[in-house]
Amino acid sequence: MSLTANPKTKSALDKVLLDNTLTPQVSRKRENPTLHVMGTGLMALAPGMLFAAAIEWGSSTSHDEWALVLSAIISFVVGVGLRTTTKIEADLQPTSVFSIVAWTWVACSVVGALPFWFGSMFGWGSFDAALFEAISGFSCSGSTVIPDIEANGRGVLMWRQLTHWYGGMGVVVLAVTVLPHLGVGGLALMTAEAPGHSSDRIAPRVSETARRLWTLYLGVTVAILLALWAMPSVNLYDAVAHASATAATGGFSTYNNSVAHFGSVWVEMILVTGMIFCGISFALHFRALREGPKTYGRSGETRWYLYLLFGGIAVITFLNQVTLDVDFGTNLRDSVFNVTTLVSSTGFANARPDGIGDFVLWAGAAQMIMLGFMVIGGCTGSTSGGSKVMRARVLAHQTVRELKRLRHPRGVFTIKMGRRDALPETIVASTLAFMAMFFFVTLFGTIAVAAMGVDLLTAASGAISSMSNMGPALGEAGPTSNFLAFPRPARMVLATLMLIGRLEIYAVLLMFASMTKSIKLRAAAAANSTGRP
Amino acid sequence: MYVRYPAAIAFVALGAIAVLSGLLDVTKGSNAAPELLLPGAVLVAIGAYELQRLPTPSAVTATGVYTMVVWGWVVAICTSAPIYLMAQATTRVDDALFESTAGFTTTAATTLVPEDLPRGILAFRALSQWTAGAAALLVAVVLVPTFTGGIERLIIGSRRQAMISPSLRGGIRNVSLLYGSLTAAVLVAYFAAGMGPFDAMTYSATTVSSGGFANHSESLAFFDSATVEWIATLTMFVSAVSAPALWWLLKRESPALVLNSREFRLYLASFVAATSALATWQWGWGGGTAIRRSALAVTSAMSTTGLVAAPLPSFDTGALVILLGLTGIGTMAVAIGGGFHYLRVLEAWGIARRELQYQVHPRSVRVVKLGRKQALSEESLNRTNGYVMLFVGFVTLGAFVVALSDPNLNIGYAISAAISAISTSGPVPAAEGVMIDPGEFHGAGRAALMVLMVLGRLSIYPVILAVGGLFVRLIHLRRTL
Repeated sequence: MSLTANPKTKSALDKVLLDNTLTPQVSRKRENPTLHVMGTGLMALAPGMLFAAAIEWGSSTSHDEWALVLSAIISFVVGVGLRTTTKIEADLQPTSVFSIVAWTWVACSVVGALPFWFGSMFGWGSFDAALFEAISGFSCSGSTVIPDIEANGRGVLMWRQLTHWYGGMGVVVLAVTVLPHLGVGGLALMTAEAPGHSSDRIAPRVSETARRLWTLYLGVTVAILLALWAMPSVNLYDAVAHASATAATGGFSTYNNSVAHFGSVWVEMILVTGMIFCGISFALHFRALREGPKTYGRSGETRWYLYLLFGGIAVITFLNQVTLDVDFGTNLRDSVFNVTTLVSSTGFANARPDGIGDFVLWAGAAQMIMLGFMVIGGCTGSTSGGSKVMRARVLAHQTVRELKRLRHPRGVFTIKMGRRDALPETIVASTLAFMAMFFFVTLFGTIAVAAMGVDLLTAASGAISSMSNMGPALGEAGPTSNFLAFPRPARMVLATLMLIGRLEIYAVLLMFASMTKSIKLRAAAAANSTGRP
Repeated sequence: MYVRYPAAIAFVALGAIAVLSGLLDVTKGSNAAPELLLPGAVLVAIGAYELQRLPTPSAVTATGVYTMVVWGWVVAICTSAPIYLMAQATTRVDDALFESTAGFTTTAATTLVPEDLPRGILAFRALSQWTAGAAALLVAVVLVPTFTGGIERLIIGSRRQAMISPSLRGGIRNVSLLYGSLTAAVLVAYFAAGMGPFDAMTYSATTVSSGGFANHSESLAFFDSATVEWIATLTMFVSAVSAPALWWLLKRESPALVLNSREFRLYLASFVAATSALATWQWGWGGGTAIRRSALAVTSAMSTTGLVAAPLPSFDTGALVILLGLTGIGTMAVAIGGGFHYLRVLEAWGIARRELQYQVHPRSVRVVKLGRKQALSEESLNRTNGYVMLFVGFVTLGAFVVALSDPNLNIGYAISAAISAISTSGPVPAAEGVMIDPGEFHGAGRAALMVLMVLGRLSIYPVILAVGGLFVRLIHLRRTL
């Protein structure tokens, strides 16, 4: 863009650069929304780290409290520094929003990895492992590279659980407010779909919307926490840890056996309820609080989500009953838990010696269905991952429409979702493009991982699981295993996929766009000032 | 007319190759000649009689053309299966049907041991693939655009299309010339490289048609000849190029137009990149061998032929995944082989890229282009999107049925088999470097693979239309009754 452009049409970014380069600065604060929001995010991490340090200090399970305190100080100081030296411009461009979201997530993951790195979890030579764990936490994936979880201190493990909770906080606002507003991958459909659970109807301002959503998120977490704490086999620490992971549909646990450690069907049912709830749009929950539970029935996506969930449970239970030597009660319990954990993209495991919770040992057809669940995931506006039920609906409708067109090539067919008018073609195209992108990125991830010597099933399911922020994969990286099955470079590929999947692909792909544009404009400004063409 | 006319053509074609195979069997003194000659003659007679009696179809709708094509294929498959049984190539009906389907869908999947088969049957298998390859090319290049100008119109650039298929007769003549001359050239090359006349004939037929049936269990490795492998590589590479583009090059009209085609460049780049990657992985075989065998494996996957010179499990896992991906993509559009096609990959990438640009400039108006000038309509993009979904959907469904047929089957194995079948490839590396042997699959799994082969060979849409039309007719019939 030329610097001689009409001042009325120039973007805010252009204004920033022009002001910085051609006119004297009025304020000492530099306009940089990315660094400003990043600073806020880093500051917010510090209380969580201090809370975890207090637990560590109180439990005396290890001496990682200093790692947590040091990380909290770094996080706070860097956060304050960034926040006080920068400010947000008035008119943000879409590229800036993508940049803000993606870089903040990356920064939080890097700083969030510090307690794992400074502490005794991995050691100084394994920052990549610490970073993987943090990215997995903040992206609410739940994949782990810790060989023995229970050998670590309670505080550092609590921080690990809190990375999920922080990630969930970010996801809620991102999924309900930011991405639909930008129309990422057809998410504008959220505002078009009946009964409409768009963010702008929750509150007039984004900050107010975020505040209300976080209140709801906190309420859900507390509800799950109290329900878990009421169980005799769960103490307060475990309740907090697992409630955080459930609300964020993350999947980290403080035990090697994950949820199977409790050996309680009631604990599993509480978690199942929590996972189902958190797999539904938080904006819809908010609306349901005001308008009653019938709101859920009016949401087509939620209906599809529940059909998918209960249909999946029925089919998987049937397949397991036919193919595995197991009694019906155990089969139903484990099928319900594992289908829910994958549909909601949580990733808890309940593999007990007397059960069938390790779905890697299920029949191939049942594993195929589970792989499908990994791809689809939960609802838009929820904390769950995957390509989302909404997009699966659009794809299904589009396929039917193409078949109709085949029969009647000159017919005009529209896609209707719910009782609303025909879906705009831009949203359909956007959704289809998102799916194409999802497919391409997953394929590249699979090839990259397989190139490092991982077998096809493990590589492909690992890539899908990471893109969908699922947690466990199939093959060598199933629910009773971990991502140590992948070589170190492959783990970094998978961690990147987790970020890409969490930020709905485009944010990560466009995170450099704002920087590139900024560099170009600066170069243009410099050239202009020196009179060079 | 929609069934009888294509059935008559299928009878004539099938009868002709049965008679030819029988004659080849007689010359070698095998024992399958009567079982091939007699039914062959009967089929030719019935087909010729029907063709004389039936009026030539004119003013056929798009659905009509697709329906005829699909029924022609189905009749050919169902009629050739009894020939395998009569010739005692197998005693199982499902094996015969699978072999027949693999033959007429140009897939290199087999349940039979080639060394146990009489020469007549080996020739019959090879010729069934050659005939199917020719028929697929005729349908894609001539029939569909001429009669419907519909789905394939997008795939064939109008200028290139006009060159190879100026009219129905001209199109048939040009395609026959192209296909025939390519086969003849490969036959002579194989023969010159040291193959016997029978092997040269059958291998040239299955290489050019991207079929992949071999007379030996080791496939091309049996000959242990670098020259044979290079000939096969070159042939498969050429057969995976779009037929109109090949015709353009053959006529020396403007090679630059083909070389500048984005699809061709992507195809070429994929070949070079994949061969380099595989050769690097397998450098331990020795530089020359690694390059040669990698190039052969890559072209075999890209052309969906399935001929191999080195056992696929001997490749590195990453190489196997690349080969599987290349098999899924398959050939350029309107080539002899199957698969998803590079043109659709370009379109899908264009759609995704446009969306990325929309995120930066939400109010801009952008079109997806295939070249510098060829902007694609939204309708054709929607159609591509529809095809992508159907392709992925059928692979998933097929893999699910295959997995369902055997509870102990590795899921990676099932997915690989489904991709291989819908791409009409054949031997495909699966999980842990295992080769797919269709004989291992049970009834439902095999049936699913056969359906996928037919869907893949006919590019999905025609099959859906034909089957959909059948359902509509049945519903009408029921209402009438």
